[in-house]
Amino acid sequence: MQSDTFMSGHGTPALDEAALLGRVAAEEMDAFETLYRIYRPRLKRFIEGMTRQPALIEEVLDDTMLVVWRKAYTYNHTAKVSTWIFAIAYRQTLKALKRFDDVVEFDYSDNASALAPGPDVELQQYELRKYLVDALGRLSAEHRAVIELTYYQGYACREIAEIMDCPVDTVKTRMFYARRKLKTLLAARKEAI
Amino acid sequence: MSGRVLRFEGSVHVEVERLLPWLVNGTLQDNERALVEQHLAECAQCRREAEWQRTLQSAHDAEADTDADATQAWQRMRRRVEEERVGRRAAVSKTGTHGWGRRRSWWRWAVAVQASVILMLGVMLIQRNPPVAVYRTLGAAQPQSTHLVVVFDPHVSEAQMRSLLRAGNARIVDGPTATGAYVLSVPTAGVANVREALRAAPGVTLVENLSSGSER
Repeated sequence: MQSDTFMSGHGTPALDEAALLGRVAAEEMDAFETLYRIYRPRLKRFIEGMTRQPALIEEVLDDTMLVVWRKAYTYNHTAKVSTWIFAIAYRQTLKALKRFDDVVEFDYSDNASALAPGPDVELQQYELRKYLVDALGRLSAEHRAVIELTYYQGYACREIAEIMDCPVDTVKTRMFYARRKLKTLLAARKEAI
Repeated sequence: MSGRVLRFEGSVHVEVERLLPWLVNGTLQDNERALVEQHLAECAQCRREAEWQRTLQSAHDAEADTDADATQAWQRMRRRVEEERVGRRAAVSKTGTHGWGRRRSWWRWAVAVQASVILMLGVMLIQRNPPVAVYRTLGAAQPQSTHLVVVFDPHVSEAQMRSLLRAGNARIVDGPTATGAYVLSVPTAGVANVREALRAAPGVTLVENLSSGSER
């Protein structure tokens, strides 16, 4: 039965993304569309979190998926497909940031209406989110990447090391300093109010 | 693994502090989780830190939003890929046999040869084992079904999802996957209509046939 091949080795159901990528390597547009639509929300979120520059998001996302299309035939099954794609996204984001030299600043306070609390949202949660957006904007791209990949994308430390192409201990250290800076910024913000 | 963990700055407390983000996101390996949980039971500072990180994670999760531009964005991506394909073919026809085009056409030939061998072996296998008659009662007859991969909008309600599935006479046979996709079983006879209806329905972001030759 076909659906048997759509179970991952971790006991949780998962699409056989490696097979999908194999079809992308054979230039099947349907398969590429499926992969694109599956990954778009996660990549968009990751690139946004890492760049904090809305103007860059779509461009980096397209560049990332174009590399996936071109390089699908090089995927060698040593990592999960998602780790492989996020590693490409990470490199493309760093490249784009370098190109823009991190000069285009986006004032997220202008975007406050997008974060306005709905009737069901606790004010406290809203406040924390607002501070968090501000504070994350002050971290380095690498620190933001570790935070995004851990808390939002749910990657294990070892997988983040593969994505960022660095030792596991470097990931732990980056996360440690990112958290410390985040805490300091959030505390300073609360005191200032 | 725990030996390596303990070597890190020589302190369990320091290492546990560094592992907490992955306790919070649930990806620690068993031996690491055991180390962290054992330490948490006796360290109030680390317990407070873990709690703070859970708050941080939930605030982070709440930032997720819907993506209304997905179809438009895909069309743009598709155009880019098509343009590149055209450019590549033009380059191949100019330069003859260099680069991607050549490698891929070689690859396609290899797949074609492989497919014919598989087909030949299949025919031989059928000839060796004549089909066995299978008797089924009318009650046991199973209508043929096709599988569709569907991704729902994260904000779609359970009631909306149920009504979409009922309307198409579809059943969930797998999922949700890590990427939020479901595999639906749909009667083959009406699969084209169901697929189009799901594509048009609000709250559905992706519908594809699971088999490689999806109808269009």
